Amino acid sequence: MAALLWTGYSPAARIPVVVFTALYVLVFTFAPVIAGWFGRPFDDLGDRTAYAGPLLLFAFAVLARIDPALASPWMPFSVLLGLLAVIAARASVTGKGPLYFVAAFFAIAAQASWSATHLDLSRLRTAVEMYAAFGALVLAAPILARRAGRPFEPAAGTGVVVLVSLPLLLFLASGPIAPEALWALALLLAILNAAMFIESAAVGLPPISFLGSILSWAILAAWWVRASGSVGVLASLSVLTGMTLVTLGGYVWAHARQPNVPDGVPARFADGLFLGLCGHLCLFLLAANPAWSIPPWPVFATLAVLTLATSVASLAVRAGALHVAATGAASMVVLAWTLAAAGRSWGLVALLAAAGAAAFALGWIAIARRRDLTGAAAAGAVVALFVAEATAMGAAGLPAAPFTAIVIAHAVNLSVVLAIAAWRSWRPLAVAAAAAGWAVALHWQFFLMPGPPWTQLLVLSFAIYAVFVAYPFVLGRRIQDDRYPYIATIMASAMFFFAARAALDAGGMLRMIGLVPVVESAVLAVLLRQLLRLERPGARDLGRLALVAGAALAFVTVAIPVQLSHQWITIGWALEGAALAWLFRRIPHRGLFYSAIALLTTVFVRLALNPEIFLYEPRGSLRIFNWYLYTYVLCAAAMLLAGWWLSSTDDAVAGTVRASRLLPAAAGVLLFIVLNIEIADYFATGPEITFRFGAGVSQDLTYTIGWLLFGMALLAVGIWQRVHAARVAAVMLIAVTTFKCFLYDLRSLGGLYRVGSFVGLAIALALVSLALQKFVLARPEKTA
Amino acid sequence: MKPLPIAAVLALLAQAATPPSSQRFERPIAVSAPGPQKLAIDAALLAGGAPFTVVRRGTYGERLVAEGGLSDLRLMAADGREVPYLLVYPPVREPQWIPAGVEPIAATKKTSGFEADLGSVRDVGAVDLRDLPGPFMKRFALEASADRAHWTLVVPEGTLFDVPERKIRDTRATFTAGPYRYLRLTWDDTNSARVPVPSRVFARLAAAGAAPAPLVVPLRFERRPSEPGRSRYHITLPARRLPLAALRLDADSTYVFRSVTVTESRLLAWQATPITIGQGFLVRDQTAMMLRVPIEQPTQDEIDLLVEDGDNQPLNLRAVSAELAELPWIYVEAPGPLAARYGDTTLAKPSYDLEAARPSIDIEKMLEARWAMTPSSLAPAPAPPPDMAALGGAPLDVSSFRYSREIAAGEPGLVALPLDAAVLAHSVGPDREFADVRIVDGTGRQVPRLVERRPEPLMLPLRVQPATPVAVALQPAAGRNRSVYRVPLPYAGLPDAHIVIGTSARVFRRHVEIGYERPADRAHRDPWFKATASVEWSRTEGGPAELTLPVSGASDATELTLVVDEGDNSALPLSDVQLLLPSYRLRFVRPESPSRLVYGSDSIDGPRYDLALLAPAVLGAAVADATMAPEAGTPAAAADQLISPPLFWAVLAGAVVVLLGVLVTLLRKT
Repeated sequence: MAALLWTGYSPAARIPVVVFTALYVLVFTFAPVIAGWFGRPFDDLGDRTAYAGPLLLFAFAVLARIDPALASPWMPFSVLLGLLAVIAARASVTGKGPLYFVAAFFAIAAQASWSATHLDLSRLRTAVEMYAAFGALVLAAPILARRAGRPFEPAAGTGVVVLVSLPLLLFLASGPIAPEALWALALLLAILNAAMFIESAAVGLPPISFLGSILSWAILAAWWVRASGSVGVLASLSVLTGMTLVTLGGYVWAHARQPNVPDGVPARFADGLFLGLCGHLCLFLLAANPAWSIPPWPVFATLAVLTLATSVASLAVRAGALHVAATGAASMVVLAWTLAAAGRSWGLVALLAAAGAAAFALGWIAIARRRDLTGAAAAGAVVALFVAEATAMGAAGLPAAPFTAIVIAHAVNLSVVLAIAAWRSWRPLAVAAAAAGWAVALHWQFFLMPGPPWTQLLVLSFAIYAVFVAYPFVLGRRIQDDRYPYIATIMASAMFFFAARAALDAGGMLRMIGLVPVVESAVLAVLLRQLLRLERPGARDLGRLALVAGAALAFVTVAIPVQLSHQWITIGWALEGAALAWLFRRIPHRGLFYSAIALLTTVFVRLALNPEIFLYEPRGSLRIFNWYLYTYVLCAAAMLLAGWWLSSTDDAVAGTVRASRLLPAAAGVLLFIVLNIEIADYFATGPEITFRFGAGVSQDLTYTIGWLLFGMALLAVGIWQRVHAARVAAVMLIAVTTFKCFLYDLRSLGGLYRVGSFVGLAIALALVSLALQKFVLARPEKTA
Repeated sequence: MKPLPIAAVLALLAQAATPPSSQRFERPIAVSAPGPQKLAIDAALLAGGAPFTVVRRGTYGERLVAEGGLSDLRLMAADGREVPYLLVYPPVREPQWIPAGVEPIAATKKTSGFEADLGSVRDVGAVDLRDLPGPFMKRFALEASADRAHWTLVVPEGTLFDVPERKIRDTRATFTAGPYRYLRLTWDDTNSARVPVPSRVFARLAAAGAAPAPLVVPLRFERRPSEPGRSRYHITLPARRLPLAALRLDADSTYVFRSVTVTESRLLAWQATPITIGQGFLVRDQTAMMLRVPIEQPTQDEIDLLVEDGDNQPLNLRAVSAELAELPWIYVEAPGPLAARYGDTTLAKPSYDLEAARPSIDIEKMLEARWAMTPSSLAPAPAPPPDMAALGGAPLDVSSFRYSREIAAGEPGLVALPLDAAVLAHSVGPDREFADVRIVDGTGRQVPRLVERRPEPLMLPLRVQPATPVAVALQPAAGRNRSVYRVPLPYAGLPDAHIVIGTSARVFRRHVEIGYERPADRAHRDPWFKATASVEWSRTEGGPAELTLPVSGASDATELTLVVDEGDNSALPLSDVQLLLPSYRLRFVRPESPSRLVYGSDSIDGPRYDLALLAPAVLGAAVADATMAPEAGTPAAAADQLISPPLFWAVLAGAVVVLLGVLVTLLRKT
């Protein structure tokens, strides 16, 4: 037959060739039967001659290629169809499935050959009818065989036949007739997918249906690339919807046929449901193209149907992950449309669409609860809400999105996420929500500013901040052992600070920025008070308390430099250091302690080792009672207070020296410095303080007297408080002062002044010696 | 900067609540202290205020100065009183150039050059070879010396050029100023012809001072589709008639040596067409300097940039910014916080007694005030352009038009409708000025439109498929190894275009012809091949992989025939065939009622709309692109009827009902 077709075929011999081919096929297929009629049945080898029958069907493929008259194929293809039916029956009766499989393969090859050679728009109807006829046979033959109790073997073969049939549709999907072949393609895809699901379910081989679905989507993609631009969006969406519904329905049906497959098996029909998400993928690409997705109603309506279908399917097979994926995909489609397609007029629609997707996901929770899929439904809602946040960010750049709607969207989305986090005890979710709030503020700040009014950034960030601040208050005792709500609140506080700073800066109101951290600190202080009331003493989460308290104080710390200047920064930090020391007594967390020490050390460095201090402000007209006095005295007092408060705690710095000993010493140094500053200020004449020794007798003597009095006062304190170091320092200072007096001051005095000085010095030294004798040397030192 | 007092800001904001005039914008100004202040003009003010005009000033016309703008600017005190101000230019001392005699230096095989003697040691910072006749484009190195014994390499490598044919010229080399008497310029003659020694050169005295640094404004830009060998970018300016002096480009290529053209749309005869407003050469060596293109002041707020990539990869721009001409300061004797109002460009320039103080103003020593915040809008922008919607067209009988396509509904206002290949093919096209392309509204009245030619091409993908030729000349014959391909065109009757053919082959040489196969006619007994273009196409390693051929001549052809003479080689693999059509769009004001585009009438004359009188305003306004339905009568349009909208919605509704039914069933089972 091959030689005949290759060398001597003429179109005039078409009918004889077809007839004789059919006869040969029948003879070979029934040769074992015929041999039986003659009483000489075949042995095994002879039995195999039956396969020559289906093999001869190759002739139809060759004819379709070489004979132009087969542009009208019904005569030979009707014969082919009949032969295929006969061979299928024979294969079923004899149990020789390969007979049918080989015949089906060549029937498909014949259709492919005909399609490649003759298919054009004028023959579309013929092609569709032909595909449908063969598809119906491919669908029906295995079913009938099974019903007859003689299924084709091997069982997987029928599914493979369907798989091999699918690529035929590429002739419709990718050729020049693709636009017109839309409904035919849809019909044939439906038929072949149905056959595929039936066969794969019948033999329990999900991979067959997986491959078939992938192939079907590839065919649809090919059609989409080739023709969707021509047929318009409605038709394309209709096919897309149909294909998705067939895929989902098929897998649900197949799953229902094998409901008791354990989870551990490599492949289940339920897994194939995820292939239904290809519809969402197509919508994603489509939504990103404004030429297709404006106006968006067809796309959104299709999206709603696909998402509903996928969620119903997830409910049917109890596949929670499928619902999560579907809601996430739906939200992503809306996001893609918002970012890429929604132009000047669609901002509000974008917000509403995102809200709709999130609302669907939330509403599904009530439904899923009936099927014990609450967790998955909640996860789907969370995913949808987070994507809705991104959508709201994208919509914020669109002119038609009302600012109020944007604020409400963000506030509601984040509030619901927090509610779900609390409900499901998904603790880190609150932090993720706070991160989303950060993203919103940063997006507005860096991508939208300075376009919108600066007040909008302030309002938006405050709305988000308010949500997170309210969160721990609303939850109250329900989050007793949970740190995440407080971490989220602190993160949101930081977000609001930076956003408010950017907003105020844009509005030229930066001088009010200090108000923001102060208010935030006050709010955190209230939160801290609530924590202290909620937790019983002794059962407190010190880390959480320290976190909130530290954050509150950190905002004050931030407020000080951003709002204050020069010495007020120093005073603020000193007071805050003292406050931290007090707090450390209530909440013995080392972080608080070291924060206090760090702040007070900074204060000391700024006041004692910083020459710029003399340039902070010009000298005032009022001597002594100037800003130096209140700055140094207040800071010294803060250090003394801190030292006093820390003295009853474990205040060893790095396990060595106690802070309660260091801080009073530092305070003393500051007081001594301010004493000298005040003296210098008193005698200074220009706009700045200058230390000038030897410039005048009165100034030199004032230093001497001041040092001496300071030394005596320090000695008194040392004796009173029984502090050895203070006493030693006092004696050393007095000694230095004495030497100064003798060696330097007295040489510039004469007469009664010199005598008076000697007398005064003598009295002072006598008092010192008396005090030492009476209060120190007279009894042994008990405490250092 | 000291912050603005809150009370003052609140007072200004409260004042803004009742704007007394037609001004569109208001911005508070933060003054450092009451008294004389200077305030910089920034991009936001330029975008909203009356535009400046760029004029050339200076002895050599080198300085581009923005003059005559901001006639609408008014400064208001917190109590609502108008505060006088002046626009004061910073004093710019003219650059002083001194001539220098020139002596050639000994030439080597690859170098030549000259030495210039300034006569005495002078502080110089640039040298100009303006007397050197073009054309030339040469790399050079420049050394400088005070004593002719010790030389300093002040420009290690640079490029000077003067190509009159392409109107590009840069004969000036700048360097770090220093005390020098001798300058030695050495040409690199490796890859270019020697140039003569100029009769003299000019050196710029460093002490002469320079104009202040120009204001630079970042611009939005996007890459546009383009034919091979070219990169196109569309740039959006903050406002029309911005006083631009140049564009600054930031590209990621280390070496750049490409010509560039900047265009904007201007109305010429019946269409708005791209007009060149800047042309130059982008040159960058390893010094990684910013690329710069001098341009004329644009009249629109959209301009296009075309870069000739040559044999290089497309230029990848990272940023584009505008360099503005010299701008004046705003001088004001502020009594306290101020607010600037502007935006009503119809206002005349104010005249204040403060003008008498101009001679005594030392603007450089003034305290500088700052803009306190971004502009707030006082009044909506006037409809762009004014009164255009009122220019209604006459009624039109559309029965003689073969094609009618619905224009997608949208917000009324100025839009642009790109013309697709169907319109180009089925209308009378650009050859007859799109005379039959009309827009009609729902009442049957014409909507005036303006045709705009876009610089970038309209690109259509084509398929190429092997074909059996019918033309006798293309039939297979012994000794001829030719590949014949059929390239179906989307429509017959397309205007002249170009076809771009790509290949994956890396090294080859082929003779390529393109044309049409024609049936036998009175002049040809057999089908014949009409070649419209033929070319030798060769590619070596790294060369361009695309061939561009012109396509013209057969208005009734629906497919092209491509013939590749393969020689003794295997068939050249072809890929990515594209048709490049001229790109047009219509600007019009979309009416409230549904509108449609009609075309395909051979008997109608070109329209004469009053809209053309408003062309500057129409072209200068930024617009969004509108879309339209597929062409009726085409396969695409027929396919669009594959499902009607009601049926589509019914199908979806049915699907929802079924799904809800399934859902209820599932829940009941539970």
